[in-house]
Amino acid sequence: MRNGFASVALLCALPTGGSTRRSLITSAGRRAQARSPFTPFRRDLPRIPELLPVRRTSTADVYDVQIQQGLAEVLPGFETPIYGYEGVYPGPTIRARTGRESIVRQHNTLTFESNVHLHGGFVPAGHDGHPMDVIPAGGSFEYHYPNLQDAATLWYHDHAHGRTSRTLYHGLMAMYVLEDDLERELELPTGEYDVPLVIADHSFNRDGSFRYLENVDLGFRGDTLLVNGAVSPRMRVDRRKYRFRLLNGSNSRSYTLRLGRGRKMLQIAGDGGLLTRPVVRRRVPFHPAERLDLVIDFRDYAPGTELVLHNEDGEAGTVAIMRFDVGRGGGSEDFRVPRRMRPREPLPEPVADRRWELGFGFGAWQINGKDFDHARMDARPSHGTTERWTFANRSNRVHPMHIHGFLFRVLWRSSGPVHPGERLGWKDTIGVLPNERVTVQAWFAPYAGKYVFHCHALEHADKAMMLQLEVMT
Amino acid sequence: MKRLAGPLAAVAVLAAAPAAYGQAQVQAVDGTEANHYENQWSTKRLTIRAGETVTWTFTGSTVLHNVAARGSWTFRNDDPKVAPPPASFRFDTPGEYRFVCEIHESSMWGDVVVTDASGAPPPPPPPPPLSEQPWLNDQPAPTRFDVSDERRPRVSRVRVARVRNGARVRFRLSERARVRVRFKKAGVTVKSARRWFGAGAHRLTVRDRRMGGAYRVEVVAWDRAGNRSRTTRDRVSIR
Repeated sequence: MRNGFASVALLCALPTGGSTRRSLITSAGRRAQARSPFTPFRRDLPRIPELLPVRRTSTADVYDVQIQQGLAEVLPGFETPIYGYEGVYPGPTIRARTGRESIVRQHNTLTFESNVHLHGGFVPAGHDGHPMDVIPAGGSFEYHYPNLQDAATLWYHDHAHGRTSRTLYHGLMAMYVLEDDLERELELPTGEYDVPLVIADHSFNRDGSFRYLENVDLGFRGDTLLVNGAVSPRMRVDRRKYRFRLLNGSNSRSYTLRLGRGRKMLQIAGDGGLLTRPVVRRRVPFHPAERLDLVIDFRDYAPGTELVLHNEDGEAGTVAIMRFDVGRGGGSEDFRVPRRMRPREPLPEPVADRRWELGFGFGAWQINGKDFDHARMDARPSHGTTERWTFANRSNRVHPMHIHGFLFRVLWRSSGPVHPGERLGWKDTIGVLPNERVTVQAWFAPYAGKYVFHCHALEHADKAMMLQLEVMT
Repeated sequence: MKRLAGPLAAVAVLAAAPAAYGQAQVQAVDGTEANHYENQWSTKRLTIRAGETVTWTFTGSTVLHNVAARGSWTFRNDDPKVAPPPASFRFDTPGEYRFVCEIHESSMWGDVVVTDASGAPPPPPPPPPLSEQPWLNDQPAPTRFDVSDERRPRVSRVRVARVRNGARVRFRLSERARVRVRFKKAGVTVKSARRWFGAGAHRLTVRDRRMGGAYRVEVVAWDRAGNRSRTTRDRVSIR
């Protein structure tokens, strides 16, 4: 009787597509399969447009951005409704220069509140995009970004509280590339050889729209990888060095990146800018909201070589990220990435130790047993000091912990040595693995005021794994 | 749907729910590392008759779960908890009813199909609009991540001849490659030369006034993809 019931359940559970399987092996089936919009490497990598200033003054560049609905062609032949900065996904890249202020006027044309957080930027508290500082529907706000920090790959995205898992998923994210003279002196690849890549996992409905199903525990997991808004695209490259600025723009998915059969990638920068020296990587863990600057030298490969950048932790459609097709051309470049890229700044000794326990409370994610409460202040570091913060993960999910407005150095991981790719540069987001403890040294400068720190798995942050800190002068 | 068949079949066999008349049981099954922590119900779709009861059980589960209705009916046992007590609902009206765990809705969902007393299936519900029907990625993962030149270059017809104060090495290359010629005496390299050559016949002349003696000459080539040819050898005696 028991078995009988189980078989009935099994029959009921079997998909109705049993008969369609046969058609896949006919020539018509093969053609249908080739037409699948999910076939990887069918589209060329889209270049993300760059935003031009509407006005330049002697000290600042002024930008105007509409936060609006739009349509993107993500699957060939289908229109996907999105929210986007200027109505595009991913939003337009802002290229700024250290020492020159950017003034970004954001106009919210959506029917709900929004705001903008410059992730990784040194930004005064009033312009940081605190979850409670929102732009009402139909309103505007002028964000002032002083850009008084070293060159780095930053990004800007929506941060209205409780909604980010949906708004970022539907497109409110964009790159913000900060450049400086030091980088220029190093003669790193620029122009068309400096390529931003936004990686995110998505799912789809039959009409081509993004499909979102909530999972507060694990976070959203899509079955398809998009790079710059295209399904696992291909990119034709010359035989020379390229700089790729990768952003993990996924809601909650962590990746392990690998090029081809474990080919060499040179990491030159992390979240907070250049490392002190380049680091060879053949396998890179990549958590939500982290950035990774990689130099890949395609002179090592013969014309016709195809290298797939892929995710070792993926399944089926979330394995292939993109493919590089090595063409002719190039080959005579003699530029080498310098062995030393920047000095390591001395930091003041830490003045305090704080410990943050990350876990699941009653129906919500918590830090030290607390949900987000904008009326409560959870930490008050002193301006200009450094503190040792330990994140202790008491769950079996990854928590990419992010501190707004400040950078930190990774000191220790309970799971093993800290990789030089994380140790030799500044970070603003650190993936805390299941049951791991990670200690960072955070530097509370240059600005004082009210900021937040939170888990950047967006479903966790929305419910409600976020605390507040106020830097006291 | 095809992609779900594998794990589902396993789950359905594991379920082994008692099939006592008048009620059916659905068990919460925690995800494991092997299935990427996809929490599921033991049964994704079960059919009962009007008036029968479905019981959701959470025995042995170590993750927070609850059960709640989606769509046109209302039911919710409680806030998510670790291993809450079983919850039941009696279905009196034929139709299709979706149930979920509120915090694992993306994977932990199922449908109860309630037939009338004769067992005739209820009229199928109208299909949801395209904007609510999932379009699953049907593509398998690629199996090759690295399509590159793996053919070794070939060095053939190696002939070394004595010239004044040195030697001339003739050879033939199957493809463009960097060629290395070594002159060895008693196993020790005395002289070495490297150069890029295209496909075809070539010659390389090495001169050195101090090179008198008998040599073993080794020729090797590497193409741009880094593939190495076999070593080809010849002998020469230089005066």
